[in-house]
Amino acid sequence: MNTRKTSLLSLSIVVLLSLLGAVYAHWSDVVTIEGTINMGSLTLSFDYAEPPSCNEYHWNEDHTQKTAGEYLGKDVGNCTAYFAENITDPHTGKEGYKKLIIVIDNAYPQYVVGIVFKLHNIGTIPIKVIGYNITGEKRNATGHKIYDLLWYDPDGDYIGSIYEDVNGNGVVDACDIEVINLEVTDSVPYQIDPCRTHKAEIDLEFKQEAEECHTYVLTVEIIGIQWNKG
Amino acid sequence: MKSKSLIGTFGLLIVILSLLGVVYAHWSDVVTIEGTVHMGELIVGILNNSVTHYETINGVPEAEFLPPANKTWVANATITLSDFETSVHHDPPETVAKKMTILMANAYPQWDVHIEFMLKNAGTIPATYTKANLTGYDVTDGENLTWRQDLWYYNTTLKAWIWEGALVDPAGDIMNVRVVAYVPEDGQLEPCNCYLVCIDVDFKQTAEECHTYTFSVTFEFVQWNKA
Repeated sequence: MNTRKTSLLSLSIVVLLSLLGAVYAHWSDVVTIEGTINMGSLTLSFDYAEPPSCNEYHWNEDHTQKTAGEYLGKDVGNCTAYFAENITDPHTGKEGYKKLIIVIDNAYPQYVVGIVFKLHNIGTIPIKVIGYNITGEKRNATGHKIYDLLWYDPDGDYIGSIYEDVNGNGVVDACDIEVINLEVTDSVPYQIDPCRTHKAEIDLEFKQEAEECHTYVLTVEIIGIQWNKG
Repeated sequence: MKSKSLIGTFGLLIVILSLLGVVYAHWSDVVTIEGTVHMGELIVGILNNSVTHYETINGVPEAEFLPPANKTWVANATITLSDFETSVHHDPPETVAKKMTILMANAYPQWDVHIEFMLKNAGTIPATYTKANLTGYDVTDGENLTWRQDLWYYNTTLKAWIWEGALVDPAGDIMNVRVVAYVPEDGQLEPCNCYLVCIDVDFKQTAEECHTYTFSVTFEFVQWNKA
């Protein structure tokens, strides 16, 4: 009998407390803000569908006009270009490449080659291409580095030259040797919208001072940022 | 014969007792208090149709950002209200929403969203703000996010409470948030009154690509004399 009474009392207390809770809850209120943010993606790549191409040229006698092919129609120098490091944008699932590799064999002074490639925005945010970061090094026949290569473009139009950093001070000065003329044919900045492509070209012309049997390794980084970033 | 007189006595007794009852009733009286209590109502919500928003890039309206001016399509914010509640007492009846849902799609650094809405006390009892609960979650990485409070003060010139901080994950800040609530300093919202609230969000360079972040902010109110 006692146990029954205790149980009944406990139940009553529980019910009472629940009612009090409900009453209290009614006299407070809540406003909620819920948010979901789906971030976009910014992925600049080389085009998956269209491979790069090399085009050889030579100058006419007075150096005023470029003509397709090597001088006198010979096949002396050779240029190969291909894309590497396949990537997939996780957002769009589109594919592209992160690297363009250019190999020029048996180059010689006044050998001119233009490499045409296509950039592709495979992300979801417009990309602004703001510039190129050009670096490199000169190696001897055994593959050892001799000098760093420096990019010299005082007016910033990406029509400039590659110099051997002979005195190793990191800046182009009178001691250094001009070995390659380099021109990027697109003026920056330019924008590439998502899904869009942009064809660009880098032209190289070897100077008389470029040394025989040496290897010049150049790295050109194409810098793309989100379109609204200054 | 005996039983007849017994019944008679019993009947007589009943009549006498009834008479005595009447007499007694005349010497008592009753006063009655009858009460009807109409309880008030505590409803705070977002006034229906009061939400507006606009987007900017680096603080410049999307349509005016140069170059070029036609990329309003890149990212988009959608704001919806739900959990509506209509005040019983308010005349005319007022409907407020208890929940605001913000969806920001294809967000990127330096894209900004500005949201304005009216917070309304749609009830009949003054309500006082007590606290906010802030949570966040990185759905892509499956980790909790934190909120960093940089400023929280009452601006006497604007007559508004201002909160500034950021939604943060281990990789860095995701977005800066600034909330300006034009409410009295004591945080009391009077019945039938609306209060402008502005929320400014700008995404940071450290927000990660292709990630999905969620957040929830809950504002709690109690009756004014309880706080």
